[in-house]
Amino acid sequence: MSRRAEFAFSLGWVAFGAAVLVGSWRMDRLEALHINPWSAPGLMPGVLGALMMLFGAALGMRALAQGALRAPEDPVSASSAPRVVLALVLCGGYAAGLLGHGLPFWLTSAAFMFAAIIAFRWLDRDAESRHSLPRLAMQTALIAFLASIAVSLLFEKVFLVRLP
Amino acid sequence: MEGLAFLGKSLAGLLGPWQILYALGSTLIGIVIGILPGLSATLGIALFTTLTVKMNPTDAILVLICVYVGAIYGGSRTGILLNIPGTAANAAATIDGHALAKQGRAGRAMGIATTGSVAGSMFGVVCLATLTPLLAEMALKFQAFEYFWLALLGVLMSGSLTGNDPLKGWLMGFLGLFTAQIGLDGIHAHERFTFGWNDLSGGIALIPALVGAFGFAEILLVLAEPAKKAMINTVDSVLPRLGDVLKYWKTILRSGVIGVFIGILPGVGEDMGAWASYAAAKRFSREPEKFGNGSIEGMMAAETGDNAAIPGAIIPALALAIPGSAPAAVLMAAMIIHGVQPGPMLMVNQPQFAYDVVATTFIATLCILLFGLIMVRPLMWVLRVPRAIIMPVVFVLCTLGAYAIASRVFDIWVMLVVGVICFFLRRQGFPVAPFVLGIVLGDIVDKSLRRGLVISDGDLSPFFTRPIAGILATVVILTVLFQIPAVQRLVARRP
Repeated sequence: MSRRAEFAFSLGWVAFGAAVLVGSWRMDRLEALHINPWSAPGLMPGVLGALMMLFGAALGMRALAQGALRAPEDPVSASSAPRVVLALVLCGGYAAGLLGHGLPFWLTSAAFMFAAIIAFRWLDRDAESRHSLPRLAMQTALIAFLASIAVSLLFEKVFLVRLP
Repeated sequence: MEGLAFLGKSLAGLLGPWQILYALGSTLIGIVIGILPGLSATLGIALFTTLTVKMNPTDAILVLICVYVGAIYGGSRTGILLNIPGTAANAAATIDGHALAKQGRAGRAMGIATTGSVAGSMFGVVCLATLTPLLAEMALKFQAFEYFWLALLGVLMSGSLTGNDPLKGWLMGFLGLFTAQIGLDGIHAHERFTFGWNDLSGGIALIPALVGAFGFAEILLVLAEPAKKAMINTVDSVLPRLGDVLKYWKTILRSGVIGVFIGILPGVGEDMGAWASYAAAKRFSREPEKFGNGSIEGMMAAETGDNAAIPGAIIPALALAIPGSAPAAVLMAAMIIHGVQPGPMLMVNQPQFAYDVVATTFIATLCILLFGLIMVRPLMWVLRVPRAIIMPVVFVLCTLGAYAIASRVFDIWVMLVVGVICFFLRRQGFPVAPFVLGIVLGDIVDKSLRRGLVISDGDLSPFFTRPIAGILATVVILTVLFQIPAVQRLVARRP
């Protein structure tokens, strides 16, 4: 991890800790219910917010001491960005966009698996035995369909779990 | 004698045809989970918690412990053949295991892994049966002050030891503790950080958060990097040898003790059990120069240590409700889902269940011995399946796993959000295990602090002056202080 990124993350921790601390301080102390003030619901979150600020600041100071502001950008993160975006779009689109909107689970899952498997197998084609695109598509469609049916049956019929 | 009677009854209950089928099937799946790089024991237990939610508690825990033991055992395969540990617990065994494989002795390494794993688990099972009641009895004297420090110690130790940077580990632990504060508070049922959102009132459920942290984040990490061509070494005879047990009995015993001890320490886990056992074996070995170059003794020590840490990690989960590792934390959460309340009162209210866990761990150990003898070669095909096929299928299982317990779409969102956050944090070197421990222990830390302060009317001194609380507080404070460079320099300067 680059020191620059570590410093940026430390700022995030301090900001988050501060937000938690402020949220805890402003939380209802239930004085109207005459509770013991030491049992106020905001006590523990407030302590945690302060600790996150303190340790986040320590992380930032350490990164600064190690030359965070002079360090170059992390080249590894940038090179994997397209693959990360693709994975996020596919997974997010399936779990947040397709499921729970009335479409059959087996169909949405098969569609997701087909898209994700074929996309990443194509990107990783150098590490696998080479197939032509039509053959890869046929093979992937079969895998996606069978996996989707197997998962649906296993959860619904064997383990009696409701499907989304 | 009473304990033996309980244990006999538990073992008899696990010999039914369905129980044997569950044990064999779940151990096999656990081994496959362990073999696949990227899938951890923690994720395996989390996914199976959702599958077993309709089972009776004993059968469900049987399945979960078999997955747990199987996954830790199975991870060494990948380390030996590919030099990629299947789970973090197998990293120490990978050093000598892969060196042996490069010498054309991969099968021998797998045989040692089986011998070490079985020996470590068996030793751990004995400790589980004997130490759990003792620890539970001791814990009956604990009050809020002791529980506060114990839970905090678990999170801090996990932060110190599971990553490369304690500061980042502690921050993740605090984030986990904070995540557990969201929703209704445990004393006055007051809403905290819900922003008027009804779904958040119930809090962030452990299983969806865990599936996100260990499952979705791992899927993103794996898919982010281009695949490399797998080079699988040839495998010679995989049979474990009794001679190894006789030759290395001192190493096995030492590693077993270290593994169980490390397992009992709150929040530390199997990987540290393996590393500590490996380091001790090297220190006491007559051939330390062989370590790292295919040492059978080193491999034996690492595999004995990580498997002994499994029952070790279950001991505090049962006796104190403070899990010894991330997988044990999920196991404990599964127990709670099934209506079992771990903690000191478990041995009073449900002693049979504690012995069910002992018997279950014993059965799981027998299963890994069986699969170590007959299934090593057939299971190797798993390594040939491209990860571009495995990861999308695992993501579908993660989505279902997050949804299944409460049938709430909101839990899928939790899985996604936690997964994305943990993905970015893990890429920057923030470990996930302390976050999970934090979620599990957040409620205990919160209630113990507030109850303790109410009992003492705001006086902090009982947190430091009660004997056990004082010891725990000292350990917590020293754990943090010793990571400060100025303190380290001061200690190093003293003769």
